[in-house]
Parts: sequence; structure tokens; C-alpha cells
Amino acid sequence: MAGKMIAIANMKGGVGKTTTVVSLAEALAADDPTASILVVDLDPQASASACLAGDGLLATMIEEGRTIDAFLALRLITREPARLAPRIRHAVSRTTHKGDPLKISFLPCGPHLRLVEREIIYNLTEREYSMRAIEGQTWKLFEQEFLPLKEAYTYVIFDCPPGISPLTEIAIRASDLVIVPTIPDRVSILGLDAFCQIIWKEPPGVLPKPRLLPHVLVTRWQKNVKQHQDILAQLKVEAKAKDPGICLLNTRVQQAAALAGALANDGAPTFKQKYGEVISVLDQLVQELKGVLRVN
Amino acid sequence: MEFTPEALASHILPLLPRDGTPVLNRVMRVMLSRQLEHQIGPEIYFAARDILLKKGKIGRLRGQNGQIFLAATNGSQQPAAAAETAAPWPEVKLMQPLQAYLEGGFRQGLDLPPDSVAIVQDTSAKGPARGLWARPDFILVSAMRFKYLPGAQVDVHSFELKTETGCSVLSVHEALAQTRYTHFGHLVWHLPEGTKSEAKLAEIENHCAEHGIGLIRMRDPSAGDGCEILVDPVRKSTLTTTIEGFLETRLTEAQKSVLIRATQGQR
Repeated sequence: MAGKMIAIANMKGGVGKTTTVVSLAEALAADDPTASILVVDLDPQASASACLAGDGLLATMIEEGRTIDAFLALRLITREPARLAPRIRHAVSRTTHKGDPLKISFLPCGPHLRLVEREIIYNLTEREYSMRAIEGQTWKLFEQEFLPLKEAYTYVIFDCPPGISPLTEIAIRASDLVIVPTIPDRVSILGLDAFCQIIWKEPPGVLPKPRLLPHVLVTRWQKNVKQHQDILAQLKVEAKAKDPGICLLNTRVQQAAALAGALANDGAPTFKQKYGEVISVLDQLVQELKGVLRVN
Repeated sequence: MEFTPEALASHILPLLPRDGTPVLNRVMRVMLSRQLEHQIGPEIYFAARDILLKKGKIGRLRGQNGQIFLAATNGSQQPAAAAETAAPWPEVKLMQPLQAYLEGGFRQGLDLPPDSVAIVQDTSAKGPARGLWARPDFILVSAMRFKYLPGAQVDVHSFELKTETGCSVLSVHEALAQTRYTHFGHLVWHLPEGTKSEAKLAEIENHCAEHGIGLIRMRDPSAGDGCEILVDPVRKSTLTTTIEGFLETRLTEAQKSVLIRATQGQR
């Protein structure tokens, strides 16, 4: 069975995207030891890469050109026959579960992705590509190199940067599920409408329409904070509307020191040591997502 | 990409700290997987580890599912050499004195008839890689026949070895768990005179007595008669079929032949 692609995205930064990516990847791997997970970091800040691989390994991979920006530069700017799959680093997780390292592979992002994306646009424009054609060209590359990864991995998870870059938009549109981590406060949901509008309501042009509505995951949830309760109520109303713009996941990821600590951990912890009290929440999230994706 | 245990063993050594700091087996598998970009399963890992143990290149410690460390080589300044001057003895160094005691003083204490046999086997690296508390450090199998009664009496003892600081009430339960395969369980504790750990002795002794586990105190591993039995074990009614299965996987072919001959009165 083909694997599932999941994009973790939000226009706003600081809402817990990277935390969601890393913890979800590890929770999916812990839930099913036969599953293989690939994390693709599309964020030039490379936070997910650093959390998963550690600084040393990440530096080596950047040096070796095993990054997504290096691949895009070769394929779309210098037009070399570079392949994506050999750049993926396997067995990267330092976290173990029941004695076994979690089965996670990853493709990091180097610091130059933004420049490379800009350069691709300049370069293709010089070659008289229209914006639609540039999108088409990038989509074609995605189809050739990213979509086949679904055959090799049970789950491919994209860590999207804040904002909507060309590559992010393609990853979102190609994914089977888009999770939008959102803190239920007024500032954090300001961009949610715009984000959903741009990707889900605007005419898609040459790109495909996303398969499902964006699934909002409430993060840093504090049930005793009134503002959180109010915003959550609003999100529930929106999700239950006649023509809803979002789906609201039932799982709430609470504000927890364990999650912040988990990403800072640079040893080789067990899954239980790493996530402690949050494990039950992660498990609930995994089961809910499997239901949405109709896995099992 | 597939690895042989021999090939994997060659990757383990460079990853071990040169100063002899032990590394958890779990963590070593993470290190190997990351370096080789390939998930290293427990079977091949433990097979590779056992090769290095057999060659004396590494030592092992119990607890938290085991640890390994780089063994000293002649003339090197590595950890085992350093440990020799330090007070605590690592478990790997205690194995040989314990074996000598089991083959000597302990066996004599069993007061076996002249025709009987007693087989001592190091089982610390034998058995299922992932079984919990399924690998006693040593087993001793005694077999004897009687003058008037038919058949043979076979007793299987298991021994769990603990270092001075590595022993706790949990160790008693570890030794107890091993009696699911044997008749008698023993906890062997390296506890020199006057050490801080002596404060735990009364509690450990009580737990051993309560659970029918033997307690052997190893006072001085460098002395031939440095062991003392503090608590005698109680015989467990472990199923014969279970014990047969256990011996099948722990004894060598030669030992099995000796045991069969002894039980059939063919000595």
C-alpha cells in the first residue's frame, strides 16, 4: 500500500510546527515498529533537521550536499540529473522504543533554500517561463522525485516553513493530509483564515487542489485560560459550519514542559523518557490521524 | 545493505569510548544505525557483540539491558587496566573468580556422590537476546544416581552476579525470575568488607530468604576462598520440560553428552 504524505504548515511561526513534526514522526514510528517514516524539512531554519539529526550530522549532510536546496539547485538551476532519494539519510533517530531505534529517515534543508527558490524563479523567468509554467515545472519535479517516496515510506512528513513558499505550496497540495498547528489565541489565528483561503479557496492554477480540508491541531493548549476556551469554541463553530473551511482535530496538545524538553534532548533517550506525560496525547493524535487517513 | 555479525563487530569497536566508559546496548545500536544508515536489529547486534566478547575485545555490564565497554589490551592505558587499581571491580572481571568458586568450593559444598557430575557454564551471553532476565551469568547442573532408588536426580542452579554497587532488591527479583528455568536461584554479590554497600546487606538478605533465593557474598575475588553462602536457596518446582528446553539452548553439545551419560548411569 502506498504511504501517506502529511504536511505540517501554518503561515504563522511559533505555533509548534517543528514540535509537531518531530513528535508526530516519533510517535508514528513508536506506534508501529514496521512503519518507516521520512521527515522532509522544507524550513531553511532547519529546526526539525537539527532536532532529529543533531548539529554534527546536519553539518555533515549540508557539507555533502545532501539537502533539499542542493538538490533543487542542481535540478532546476544548473539542470544536472541529480536524484533526490540518495540524499535521504536513513536510521537517523537517536530515540529508541522497546529497545529499538525508531525507524526515521530524513532529508534536511540547508540554509539556502530561500535563495535557491528565488534563483529558480529568476532562472526560469530568464528562460521565458511564465509563473504558471514555473509552477508546472516545479510540480513536475515533485511528481518525479517526491511522489515515488510514498512507495518506500509509510509516512512522509513535510515540515513547512512559516509563510507559503512555492515548494511549501506544492507539498501542501500534494499531501494526503495537511495539519495546521494553531495556538488558540487571537494573534495565532489571525493568519489562519488567509492561509486556508489562499490554498483551499483560490483557483489552484496548474497545481492540484488539496485532497482534504486543513486539519487544525490545537497546540500549547491551556484549558484554564479563558481566551483559549473562547478561540476553541470559535474553531468548533467553524468546523461544524455548513461549508466549513477547516476540520478540527479532537486531540489537544497541551502546553507541556516535556514537549519543549523533548526537542532539546541530545542524548539517546527512550520514547518514554523523552515524552513522559505527553505520550498519551501523542498516541491519541496518532490514532486520530490514522482514522482520518484511513490507515488500518 | 546487509551486514554479517563479523562486519558489524568491526564497526562497534571504533564507536566505543577509548577511556572505557560503558555504552548501553540500546545506545550502541542507535550509534551503529546512524553511522551505517541502516537499522541494526537486535539479533545481528548481539551476535556481533558476542563475537567481540569471545575475543576479549570488549567487556559487558549488566543492568538497563546491558552495556559494553572497550576491554584493555596488553600495555594499553585502557579502562580495565585503570579499573584494576580502582576499588570497584567491573562485573566482567568478577566472572572468572566466580567460575572458579562454582567449580571448586561451591561444588564441594553440594556434597555430591563420587559418580555424579557437575557442569558449570557461563550463560551470560547465551539465550534470547531480548528476553528479560533470561540470561543468568552462570548455571551449574548437577546429576547423580542413587544406590537403591531408580532414576537420576538433576538439579539446575542459576547464578546472578552483581557488583558492589550494582546490587539492589531488584537483583533478588532478577535471580528469582531466572528460577523459571532452574531449580535453585542464587544471587552472588561482590561485597568487600567495610564498604558503604554493606548497609544494604540486611535488606537484601531478608528479601533473598523471603523469596527462597540463595545469597553468596563474594568478599575478595582475588582470594580462592573469598565466597561465603549467607542464605541457602529453596528448591523451586520448575517444570521438567521447561528446564530441558533451557538446558538445550545453554549447554554445549559435549556438556549435553556428559549429562545424558550421567543420568543414564553410563559413566
